[in-house]
Amino acid sequence: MKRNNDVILSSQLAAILSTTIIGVGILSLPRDVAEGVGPDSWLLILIGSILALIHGLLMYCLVRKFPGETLVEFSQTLLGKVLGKVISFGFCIYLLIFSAVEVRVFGEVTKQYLLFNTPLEVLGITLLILAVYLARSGIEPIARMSEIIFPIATFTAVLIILPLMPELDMSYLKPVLRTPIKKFITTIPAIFFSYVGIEVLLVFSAFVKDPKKIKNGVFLTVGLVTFFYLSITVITITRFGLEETSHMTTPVLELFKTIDIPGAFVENIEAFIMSIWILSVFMTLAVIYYGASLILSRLLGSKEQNYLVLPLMPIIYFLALIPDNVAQLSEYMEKFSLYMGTFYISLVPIALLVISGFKKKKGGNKSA
Amino acid sequence: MGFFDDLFAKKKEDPRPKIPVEKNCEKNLDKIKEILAGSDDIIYRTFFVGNEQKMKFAIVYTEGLADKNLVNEYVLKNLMVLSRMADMEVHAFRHQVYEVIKDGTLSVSDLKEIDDINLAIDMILSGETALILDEWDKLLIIASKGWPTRSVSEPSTETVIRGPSEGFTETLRVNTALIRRRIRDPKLKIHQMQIGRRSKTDVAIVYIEETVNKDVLKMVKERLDRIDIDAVLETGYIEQLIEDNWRSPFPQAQYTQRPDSVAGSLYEGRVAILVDNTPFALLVPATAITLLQSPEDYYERFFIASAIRMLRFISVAMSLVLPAIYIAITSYHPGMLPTDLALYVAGSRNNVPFPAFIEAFLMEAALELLREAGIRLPAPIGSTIGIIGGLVLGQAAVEAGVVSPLMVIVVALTAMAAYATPNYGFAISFRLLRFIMMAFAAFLGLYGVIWVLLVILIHLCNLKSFGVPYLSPFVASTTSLKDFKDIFIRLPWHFMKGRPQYLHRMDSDRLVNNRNTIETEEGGTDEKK
Amino acid sequence: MHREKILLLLLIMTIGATGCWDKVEIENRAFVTAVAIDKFEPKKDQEARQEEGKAKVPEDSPSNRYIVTYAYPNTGLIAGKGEGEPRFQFTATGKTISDINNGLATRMEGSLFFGHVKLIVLGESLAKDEQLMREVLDAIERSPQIGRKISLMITPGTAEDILAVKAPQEPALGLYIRNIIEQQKRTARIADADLGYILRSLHESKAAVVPRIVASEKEVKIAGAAVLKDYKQIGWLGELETRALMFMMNKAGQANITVEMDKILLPVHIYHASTDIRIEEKDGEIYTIFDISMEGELQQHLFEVKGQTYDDKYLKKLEKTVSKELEQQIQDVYKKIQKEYETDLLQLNERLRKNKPDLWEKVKKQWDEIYPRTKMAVHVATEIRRIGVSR
Repeated sequence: MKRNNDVILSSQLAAILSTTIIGVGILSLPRDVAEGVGPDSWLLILIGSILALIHGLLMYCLVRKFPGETLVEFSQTLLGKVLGKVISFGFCIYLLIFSAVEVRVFGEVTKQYLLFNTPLEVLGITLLILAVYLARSGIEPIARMSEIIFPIATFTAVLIILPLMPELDMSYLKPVLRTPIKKFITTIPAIFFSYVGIEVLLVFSAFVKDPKKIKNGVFLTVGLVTFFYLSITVITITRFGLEETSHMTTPVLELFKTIDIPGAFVENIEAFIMSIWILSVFMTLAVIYYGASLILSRLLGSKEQNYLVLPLMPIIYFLALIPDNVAQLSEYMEKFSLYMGTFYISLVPIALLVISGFKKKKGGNKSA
Repeated sequence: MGFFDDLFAKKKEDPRPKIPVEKNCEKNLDKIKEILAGSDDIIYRTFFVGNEQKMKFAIVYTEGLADKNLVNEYVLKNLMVLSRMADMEVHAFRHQVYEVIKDGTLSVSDLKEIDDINLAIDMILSGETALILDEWDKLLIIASKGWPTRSVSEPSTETVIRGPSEGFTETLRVNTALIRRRIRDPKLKIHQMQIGRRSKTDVAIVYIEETVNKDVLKMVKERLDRIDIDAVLETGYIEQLIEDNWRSPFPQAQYTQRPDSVAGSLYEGRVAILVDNTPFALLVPATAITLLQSPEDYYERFFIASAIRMLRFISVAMSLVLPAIYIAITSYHPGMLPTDLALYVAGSRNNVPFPAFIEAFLMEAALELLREAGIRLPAPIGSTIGIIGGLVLGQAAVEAGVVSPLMVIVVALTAMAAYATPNYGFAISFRLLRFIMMAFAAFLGLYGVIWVLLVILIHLCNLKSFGVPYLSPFVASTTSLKDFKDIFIRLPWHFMKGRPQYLHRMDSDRLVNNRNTIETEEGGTDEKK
Repeated sequence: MHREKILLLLLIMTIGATGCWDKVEIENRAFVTAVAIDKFEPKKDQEARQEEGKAKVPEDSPSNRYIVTYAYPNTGLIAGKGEGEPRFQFTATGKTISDINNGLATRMEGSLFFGHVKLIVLGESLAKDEQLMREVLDAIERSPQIGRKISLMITPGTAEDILAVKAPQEPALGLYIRNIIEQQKRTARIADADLGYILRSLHESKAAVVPRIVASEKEVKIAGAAVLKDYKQIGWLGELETRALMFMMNKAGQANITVEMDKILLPVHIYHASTDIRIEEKDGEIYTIFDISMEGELQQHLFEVKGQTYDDKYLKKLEKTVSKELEQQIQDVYKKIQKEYETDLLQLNERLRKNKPDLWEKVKKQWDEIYPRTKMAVHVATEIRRIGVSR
């Protein structure tokens, strides 16, 4: 029977990409940028967003040439069977590690703020079970979920911040543009990797019904995410100041702890905020998990991906348990995003784009 | 409309062999008697017709189902008495006598010729009268259905303050008439079929040809055709047999007792399924949003309607999560409460012997018990039970210190919230999920609540009702922003020019005129342009 | 597919069966609303305690460094169905605060919950010990349960005494204190300094003011402030000094300023004040300029002196006098914190960094030496809008 489960709209793609990008990175983003460039954080985020936009558009240019194909197919067309498969398999591994990172960070933060004594294993497994359920459901439910969760997660967060407005000290954004350029350059990786997740475009574009509008989807994604990052970062920095922001492990959650909603029924809303954050982490996890299983199924040449989801779960689970402590986790994360992230966000799309350009010129016009 | 012809062209095969009607009245009658043997409510009457009393006729009908008066006055009297007065010249009429009887003698409006005895028996058992004529190979079926019915009265569920107080009855014909009265459109189609090997229940598919979603209609038809069950006693049988996902706790068809609800839904492009012998109609496709709408939303002015609708959304959320949140906060995150309240809650639970989960579970279970008891008992006692159970039990439990007063408040709020949901089936599914959520809240706190919420959400995202995503229009693959005019709020009529896109209708104009020319007409103001 | 589901179900069930690690029913928690931390001074402490008839602290370890007291309310009393003491109090000594919490678990029926801590009081001796003070501050900052909106206060004497105060109505001492703090809106004598401000100010300029709390038999008084520099207390500010400091920090909500003019005492109620701080460089000197504008209302004159107040000229004169008075107070206090304490309480370093980045680059290195040498100027502009209902 036809599953009738493989068409999404470009607007849905935008929702998927946005929920994927906003995940564990948001918690430490203000800290990293405040530490790096201090008062000019907003500018850095804008620069990061432009970089992300450029990469998103590069990927768009690439996938536009291969409508209905994922990375697995077109990398094989462009690079040949073996190399293409290697690259795709690497991408699958990359997504798996990425999933493991999400699971682990989720577990650590939840233990820190919500459930202090609950074992990490339980938190990890329960989240993974949820992700398995969604990833098995296929692309359309994922798209619908992200469409529902993205506005809930972001708008509630921004709304809840509003009572903080009188306490903000905008002078922390001064002096403007005094940061040495060197610092900007060294901090760019931190902000650029806050946009990690956009590379799933290489896989998910295959399902888009209106491929021409993917470009709009990319613009929308980067715009929304940037707006969200910008508001959170600016508010965190102006609430805590630079010194404190860079001193805390998760300044965003601390930010929400300082909110007093006047006359509200709830007082310390960090538990509530944690729940909202769990939603967005879960969505990130589900999307990349689905991406990994999809790539694997395409590599194995099977049409259905859902039976591959469950076998991947133990892999992610054990990967997530590898780091010994929070510090090591963050060190691994940095290295992971620096090497593998750059490879799959920048290098692979650019290389493939260049090769596809050459192939076209040669007249081997079979791909178009 | 080739599509619609195709759709209903295919007739279901009757598994029974056809029994041809013979040219002998006696033989035919015997055959019928043989099949219907042992049924004492079947009346057989043989009589002779004509001046010479040579022609032997017989009528067969079911007592109680057929209108005896009609049979006596307009069939028997005409044939037995009046036909004798007519000059029945043998030679002139001999070969046309049946045509004369059919077209000239019987003064009833609905007549059918039938050549299959099995079919005739179905007819007899549904209240028609069979007239067996001598030496003719056909039976005449006289529409004589007429049995005591409940008159049209106010529906017992879904009462509204403003709006018609007509409700469906147990008779299909009356129900279709009630709908037809609201849709005087030639494009309103009422397609009738019989479901049930033994019950042969009449089922009608009702839709408006130009607004209906063809895919949904096709699916409804196919799924109804696939049903092979011995009896259909209520729409619930059909609902469960044609829904998309039987594992889901959520109803995927909406049932209603209100003809105005049905008419409104038909105008929106949905399909109604009516079943004989039940005052409930099924509406498909049903989405989470349609289950939360009440016909009154469209009758009241939009401020009030929108406010009430918002209240309803909140109440659904409350009926689902309130006890779970109580458990999560008291057992896991007391930091979330304002200090004064946290201290008070802690104090009020001071001597309560149960953990919050058990306390909440007991109270909720008691409440469900109460509700069930209230429904089963006769109406006057039912309300007494509610008062006794609710007031006395709650009061006593608090005084005995078995539960905390706050818990009673939470339980009462939850119950009220659940009652505010317009669709009973939908409310029940939330009642069920509430217990699961409570268990997870007791186990993982707020994370447990979120966990179950996510599971439900994923399930809802997967769920479709006749091809329409259950969460439409929150999910955009088939919808546009315009649909949000009628979701959380209901905009004034003159803003809602289009029909809901998510039901992908054909004729999209709901309201064409501007508001000066059309004053205050309700749901059914769609004249085709 | 079916087997997978059963597997999943089993998995969930095993997780469920092993159970509820964090579940503590709300009535079994001890909602600590106030914490007092003192320095442990072995000999002297024990003797003094015995004299005062307080619970004896077991001297089982020579490495005791802190005395920590927790107060939590009798919640049953709040809900109106319990009886007994309105408040429970536990005191323990130990090497670190977390050691103490651990040790207390052996003595209490409920589990300590710090999510509703409203007040942390530090004893003076502790506040003056840099090592202990830094430990305590870090413990407070690191705790995920303690929010940044709570009050951190320093008391002259021992902090334990504060918690021993038998406050008349409120069983939860923390709430009682919180209600007093809310008076801050009505008088600037209470330093407007919550934990968030203190931590931030200490991070940014190694200095902060901390409200002072003083206990008497049945009540507490929160007024004045302790001055922290380099993570330890170096001095006190009195009530009026605190008020002047609040004016400088633009945190003064309402205040009363009484001046004497023509031998008549004239209290003026200031209901609005805002301060603008500028830093300017002139002739190689750094000037800090305070521009304060306030609005006030005359509260009292002299009986049977008619018509004097209903006169613009008179009011203008009064305004000038009030301004002078406040200017004088501010100059005195500024001198004290700048010359005597040499603390950058007003965070001029941050202001320089934000508004005069070039200048800051020059002075950044020797700011500690330059700061005491900076100059200041203050201009107060008072507007007396109303004089009450009599002329």
